[in-house]
Amino acid sequence: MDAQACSDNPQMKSAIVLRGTAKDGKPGPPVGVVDIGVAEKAYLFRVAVPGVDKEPGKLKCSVGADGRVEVQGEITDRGVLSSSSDVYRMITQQLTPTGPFSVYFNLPGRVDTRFTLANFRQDGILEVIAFKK
Amino acid sequence: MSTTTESPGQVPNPDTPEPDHLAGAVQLDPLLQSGCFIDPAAASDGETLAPGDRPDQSSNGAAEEATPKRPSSNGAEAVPPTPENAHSADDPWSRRKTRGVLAETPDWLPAGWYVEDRVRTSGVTAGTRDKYYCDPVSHRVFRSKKEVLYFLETGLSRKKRKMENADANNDGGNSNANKAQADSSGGQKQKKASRAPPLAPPNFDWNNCPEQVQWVLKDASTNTWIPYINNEEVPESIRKEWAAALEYLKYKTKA
Repeated sequence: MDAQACSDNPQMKSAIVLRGTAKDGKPGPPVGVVDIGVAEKAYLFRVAVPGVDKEPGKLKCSVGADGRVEVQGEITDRGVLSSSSDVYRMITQQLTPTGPFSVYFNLPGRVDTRFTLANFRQDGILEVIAFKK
Repeated sequence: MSTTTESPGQVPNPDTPEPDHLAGAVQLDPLLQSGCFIDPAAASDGETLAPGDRPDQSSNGAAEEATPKRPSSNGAEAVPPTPENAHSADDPWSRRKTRGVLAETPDWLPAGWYVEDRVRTSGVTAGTRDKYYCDPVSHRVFRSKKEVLYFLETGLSRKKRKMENADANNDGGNSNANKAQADSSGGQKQKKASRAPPLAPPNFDWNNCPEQVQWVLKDASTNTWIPYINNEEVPESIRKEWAAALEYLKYKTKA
């Protein structure tokens, strides 16, 4: 999946666009990896957002009636570092760097924006069901 | 009969503690669902009407009675009635006095049992009539036909449950009691209510939806998402309407 190439071509309807740190952290991190599924009445999509800030109001998922989805969030390094005063100089940087990111993509068809069931899983996968219109 | 809770099979949740015992304490009636009311003027089915009601029963402070639900009677609760425990004169609850008026006994009640008809004297439900089914042998008191039949069949009082009212109706463990209760119209009414399919919210616009809705994670532990339209939070009333419509949609999809 060459997301960057896709982002340069606005004609591609099914493009997945990565911005912010999701785009920068290329080598390993799966932030912004998207799966899309279709059922009779609804679409399902999963977006990998490991390390995303779970604080209230930080993770957002916009759903447009035309099927356009934007996931916005912020990668943090909270956790063990918050209780440590040491400063670590990173030797490798494979995980998505901290900072805000966004992921855009399009569902295959129109959806009813009111009927969105979002589930932020503890394993860092955002799972959303959007009902077709 | 109006929406009373008095007919033998229709006491909705016999596991709910009786506000009646807390004479003087004003509290909402847990037996009544919201929107329901009890018409104090309504005559019940006739068999409970007896002359000479004593509306001052709550002033009779010593006459708390041996409802199985009383915490203080917990010890004897699960024990089948035996001559020993039934007549333990030291137990104040077993020497109960009659606080209400004796009413006619329905034909399903075993011989010897009697029915008390009481009027609540306090709280918002004052004036409501309650029936108490009394076993003369064990001195136990039951609040409903369902409870009595369960006791007759198993020798046990029904366990107290920490359930919502609605859930208690669905409890599979009560199948015996439910079967017995299905004979009475009251039981069927309850069943219907608990299995009702979700209703579509009235006047819901199924065709037009907002161009864009932004769902914001409010609480990761409970997975609570709040929708925003044009950066303004969608009011809770609308959110509830959406949720109800979605339930309906899901139900329709399944069917």
